[in-house]
Order: sequence, then C-alpha cells, then structure tokens
Amino acid sequence: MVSDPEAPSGPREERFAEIIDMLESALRALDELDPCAATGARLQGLIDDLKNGLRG
Amino acid sequence: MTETMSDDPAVKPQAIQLTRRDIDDAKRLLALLAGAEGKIVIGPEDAEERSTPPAERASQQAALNLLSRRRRRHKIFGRAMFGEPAWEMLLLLYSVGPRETVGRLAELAYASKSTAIRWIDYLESQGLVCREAHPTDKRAIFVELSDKGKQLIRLYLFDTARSET
Repeated sequence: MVSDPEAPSGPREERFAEIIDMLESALRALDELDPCAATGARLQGLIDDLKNGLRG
Repeated sequence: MTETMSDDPAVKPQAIQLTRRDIDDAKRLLALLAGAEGKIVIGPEDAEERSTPPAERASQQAALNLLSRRRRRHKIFGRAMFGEPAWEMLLLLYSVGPRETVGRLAELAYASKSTAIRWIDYLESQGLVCREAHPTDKRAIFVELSDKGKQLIRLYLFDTARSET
C-alpha cells in the first residue's frame, strides 16, 4: 500500500490535523462575513504555518 | 527564483534554482529583445527611477534599511517569533517595487501564496495597493502601491526618521 507522505502519522499529528480542520472551518465562516478581513489573513497564515510544521 | 547563498560577499552562491515561471519570464524577455532590432527603449519604471527626487530615494533607502533590520532579526531569533507579511509587502513595494507579481511578493515576504493573497485582498480593501494584469502573462497579476499607500508609508518613514534625530 502506498501511504500519503503528508497524512498525519501519530497522535500529535492527528491532533494538529484536527486543529487545522477547525481553523479552516472558522476561516470559511469568517469569509462569509468579510472575505477581506485582516483576521482572515492572520488565520490563513497560522493554518499555513501549522501545515508547514506538520510537513517539516 | 531560489538562490542558496551566504550573506558573506566573499562566499559565492552554491546553486541557483530556476522555477518554470523564471524560465518563462526569460523566454518572454528574449522574445522581446529578439524583436527589438537593436534598439532597446528604457521602460517607464527605469525612467521613473532616474527621475526619482533625492528625498524620495532617501525614504526608499529607509524602507530598505527597515527590511534589512527585520531580516537580521529573523536570522538571529528565527522567523517563528515574527510575522507581518502585510508590512513586509508594503515595504518591499515601496523600496524595491514599484510593482511585483503576487507570487514574487509572497516569496519575498516569506509567506505562502494563500496567505499573501489574503493580505493583498485586505490591503486592497483598505486602498493601500492596487492589482493590475501582467502585460504578457495571463496567469500573473501585478500588485503596486496606491497613491494612498505611498503617502502613508512616506508619512511613517518621515515620522520615524524625525523621532530618531
């Protein structure tokens, strides 16, 4: 079986992935209110940092 | 373009990695030069640069110095503690600009493209930057400072310089 190299592979990674999912849901909700909000940009930066942290 | 290099001028760059976009840009430039029939006209950006008044050049240099101090801080403490992509992009457009593509701005501000796009959306909503279509690359969008953006950065740099003297 070929595994996805970016998939979470431990309890810590799974928890991080859950947090990223929650933040992405929050970002989508925020986009409905104001897609140009500075908070949205900060949140996106945080999500990207978390994803980079998971990868690397 | 990603370049692996040291800050020490005596150390030569180890390797230069070109992206497909860099190669496409080079091809477009070569195609333009091939059609120039020996006569190359300086673009409006270069002409603008030549006619930049000394006070403006000094404030652009001040913006560059600010960026340089930020880079030094990142080098010593690490990047994780800091993060102001919007401010970095404004300073970059003011000092290095006058316009950059979204992808290049993201790269220079050490932000992911998705984060950079969101900050550019915000900056545009505040009237600080404008987007403009790339003249030859339909996939690329240029970002440049608006008059309001330039005025506010000048005001900041002027106030900062005055408070430091």
